[in-house]
Amino acid sequence: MAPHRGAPLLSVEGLVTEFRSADGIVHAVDEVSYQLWPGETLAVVGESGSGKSVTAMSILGLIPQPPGRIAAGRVLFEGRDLLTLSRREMRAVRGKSIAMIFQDPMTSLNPVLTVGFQIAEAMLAHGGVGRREAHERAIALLQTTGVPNASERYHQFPHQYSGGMRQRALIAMAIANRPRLVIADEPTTALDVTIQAQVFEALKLAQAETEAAMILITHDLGLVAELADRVVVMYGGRVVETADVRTLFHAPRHPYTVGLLKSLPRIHGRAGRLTPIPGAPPSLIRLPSGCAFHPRCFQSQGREPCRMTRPGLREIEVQHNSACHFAEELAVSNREGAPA
Amino acid sequence: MLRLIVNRVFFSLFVLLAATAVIFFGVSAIGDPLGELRNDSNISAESLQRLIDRKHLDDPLVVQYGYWLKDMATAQFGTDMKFDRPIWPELSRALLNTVQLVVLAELFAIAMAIGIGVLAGRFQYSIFDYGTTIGSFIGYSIPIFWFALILQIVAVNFYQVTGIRAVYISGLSSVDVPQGWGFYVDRAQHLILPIIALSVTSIATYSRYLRASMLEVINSDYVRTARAKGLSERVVTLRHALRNAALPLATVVGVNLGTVFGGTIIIETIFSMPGMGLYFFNALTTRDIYPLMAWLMVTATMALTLNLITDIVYGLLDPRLRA
Amino acid sequence: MTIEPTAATLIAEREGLNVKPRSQWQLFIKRFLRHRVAMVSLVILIAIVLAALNAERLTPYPFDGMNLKDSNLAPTVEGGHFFGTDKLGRDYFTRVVYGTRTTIFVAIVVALISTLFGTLVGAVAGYAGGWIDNALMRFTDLVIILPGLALLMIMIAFLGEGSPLQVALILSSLLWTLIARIVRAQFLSLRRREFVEAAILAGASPWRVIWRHMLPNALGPIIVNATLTISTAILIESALSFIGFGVKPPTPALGQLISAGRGSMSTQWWLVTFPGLMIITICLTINFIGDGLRDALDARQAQRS
Repeated sequence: MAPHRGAPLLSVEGLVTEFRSADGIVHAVDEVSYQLWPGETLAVVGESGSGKSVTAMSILGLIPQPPGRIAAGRVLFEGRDLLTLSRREMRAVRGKSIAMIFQDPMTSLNPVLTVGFQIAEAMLAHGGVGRREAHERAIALLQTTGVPNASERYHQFPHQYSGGMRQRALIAMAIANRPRLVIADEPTTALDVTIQAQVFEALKLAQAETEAAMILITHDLGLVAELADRVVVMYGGRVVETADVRTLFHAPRHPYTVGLLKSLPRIHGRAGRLTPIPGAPPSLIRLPSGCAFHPRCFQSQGREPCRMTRPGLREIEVQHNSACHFAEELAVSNREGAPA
Repeated sequence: MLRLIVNRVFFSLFVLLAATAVIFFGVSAIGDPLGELRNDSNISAESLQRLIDRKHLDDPLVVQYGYWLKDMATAQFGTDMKFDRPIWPELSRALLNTVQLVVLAELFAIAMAIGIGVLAGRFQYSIFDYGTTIGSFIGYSIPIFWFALILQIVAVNFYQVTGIRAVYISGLSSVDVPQGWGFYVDRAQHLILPIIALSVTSIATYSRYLRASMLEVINSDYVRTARAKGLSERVVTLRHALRNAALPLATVVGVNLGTVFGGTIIIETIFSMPGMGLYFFNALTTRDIYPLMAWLMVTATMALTLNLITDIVYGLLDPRLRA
Repeated sequence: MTIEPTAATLIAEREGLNVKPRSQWQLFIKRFLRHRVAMVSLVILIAIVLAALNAERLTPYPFDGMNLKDSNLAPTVEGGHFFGTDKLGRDYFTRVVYGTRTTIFVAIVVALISTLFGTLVGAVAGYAGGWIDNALMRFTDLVIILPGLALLMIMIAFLGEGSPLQVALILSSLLWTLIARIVRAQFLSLRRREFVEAAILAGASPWRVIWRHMLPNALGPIIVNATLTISTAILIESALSFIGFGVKPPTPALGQLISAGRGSMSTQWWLVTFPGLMIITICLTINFIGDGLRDALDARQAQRS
């Protein structure tokens, strides 16, 4: 992909989000920065608890406060800092300019309202359409996302929909107001593998239809490879690597990314064992000192900088950033062909 | 849904049949129908024998049960023991008055609880939340008969100090009951204190329940979806959260009704209201088992019917059960 | 007691975690002691119970000591009648303290009997299932549709001579169903837990499984509900005594005092007010304690999972 020109659509800068808990403060998002340009698809990957969903919720102002708190940072969307908007101004952004698709379609629709109404409601909330028009558009949207018999389905309740159908309805709801940005939080994780591909097609179609930019939050690297332009890798609430998708898959420059790729099953390629990353994700209350990944890192081998100094995100190559003290060593081992 | 209703109706009828047996044999086991009359020197042996013949008290208990069922089905519970007066006319009048009291008190309790529960759940840990939490603990701990008396003391003193008759503390209507709208005002003035006294426990119970279920629903995925759509907090709370939070309350109300009917015994006695509670109290004072058993049957039927209605309402409101 | 440090505890200690082994019961008690409202309530309740038990030493008046020249006195501190006197000149503070004694006695007996019996029935029903379980559930269904207060009044009217013990027994005859339901639900879920199945497979007798393996794990909810039963029993007994179907004079009970004071309540307000406030105070403290126990229990269960 060519270097980006013009202003980014969304720019997250030094975002810090914390939660109070009985056991201490949970540092869910710790100085996270990334950019997104119009029409682009950015994948945010990482294990559960890496802060990728909390970042997205912070962007939309959906963090429950308390116990949550956005302690620092800016979220610039079309030049405006979303974190400084009033409740009313934020409401006008939500569902209108930025829409979100959530992880679990089984619980993300209100069980006592018809699916069609919930889609139409998204349009009515932002004005400019009458009830009749909202109704017709909702049916059209259901058709676009591949719900059969849309005009009958409009009047049905969520429990009459299958899981895949519900996620299609949620996608329809998200694109109802032609948003500039769609945030999809693990959109296929909760679904059957056979359904995943269909929903994934619907998602692609929806994006093509609206020309919206998309943040795709996932731990499914297969989905990333197919859909994303660029990738942000998160670990322990921090960004550890950003690169365009091709570079990331072929020349990862952070040991955690290398580990993620090694744990990915492949259809083509050598029949080897999958290598899981040893150890468990870190506690967000007491992160390891220095580089948060060092206790699990194959590259560090207990070297002092890893234990003592927190590495910053730095540009290794053009448009390729890594937060590893020894990112350069990985370039060598890449050439030796460590990850397939 | 229709099948569900039919099933529930049949089940209720079965429970009612079981209730007849439990009531008849239970009451017969502990209460001698002639108890007080035997010791009454004013009643001759012949008239005692007449009473025994009339109620078939010489027959085995099972046969008596049959006669009792027959009376219930064909003669509207038959007559009382001592004076042979028909039970139903007085009981049915009492029933209407009590249903009026119970329904109004429960509607009041539900309305209050929705207000309190929604605000407390919405603004968790606010002063309002703490205040209503303590309030509901007091609601659980207050003896309703004492609360009713305090209300009466306050009302009486208010009248003595100001000279304004805002509310009445006994009866259901004034002697010189006015016509038209005046009738309803008069009735409201009589009912307001009993309604408050009877609904205290219900308000505490329902508002605690609603607060808890609001908290659960507020953190649910679909409320998050509604917020992400850019809906206002008011619409999120009332349209998306409250509906889901309030639905299961129907079941709680259904289970609580037995307690509320029990409460009418105390409230109607204190406020001298001619209802089921006062009827029961009077029947128990004369130790006449026939009005008592009739009362138990009517109460059980009422509780079952209202239970059934709350179940059906629940089914109609929740699309997952409709279909 | 010394604890041999293991590799695991050493590692945990280095991570700064508290590794002092603590049983679930210690945790439970610790959480409860930290519950401020419950602790204050416990202190107040203990004070009331001690006062009621030592009624003879607490007041110079016997509970039925009449003194007609001092009748209908309003409450004063200097006059020695903190709660005033009734129309027979009896010191009302004394009567309230003695009434509290009766009321608490009845409530504790009810809580004990209904907890023991309810736990027994609930445990058997939850463990055995089948017809015992069915019979229990249908019976409690019936109790729900019939107003309990009415049933109690009928029993007391036909059987009662109004002694505190008999009133307690009659109340217990209905209130055990609450605890039986809760214990049954606990046992139904415990019955499917691995350690219970393991014990059964190992050939332990049913009673041993219930006693050693299941009951200790259901103890928390049983204690909480036994506590709450005390407050329920106080409210019911007071209501019954108030309408004349509970504890009968000359034994004083709080509900009965309110009933006696009702006739002159608009002028001698203290006759109704003080016994009522006493009932509220006792029930409120018990409910707060129950709440504290429940919170401590929830935290214990959260810790476990």
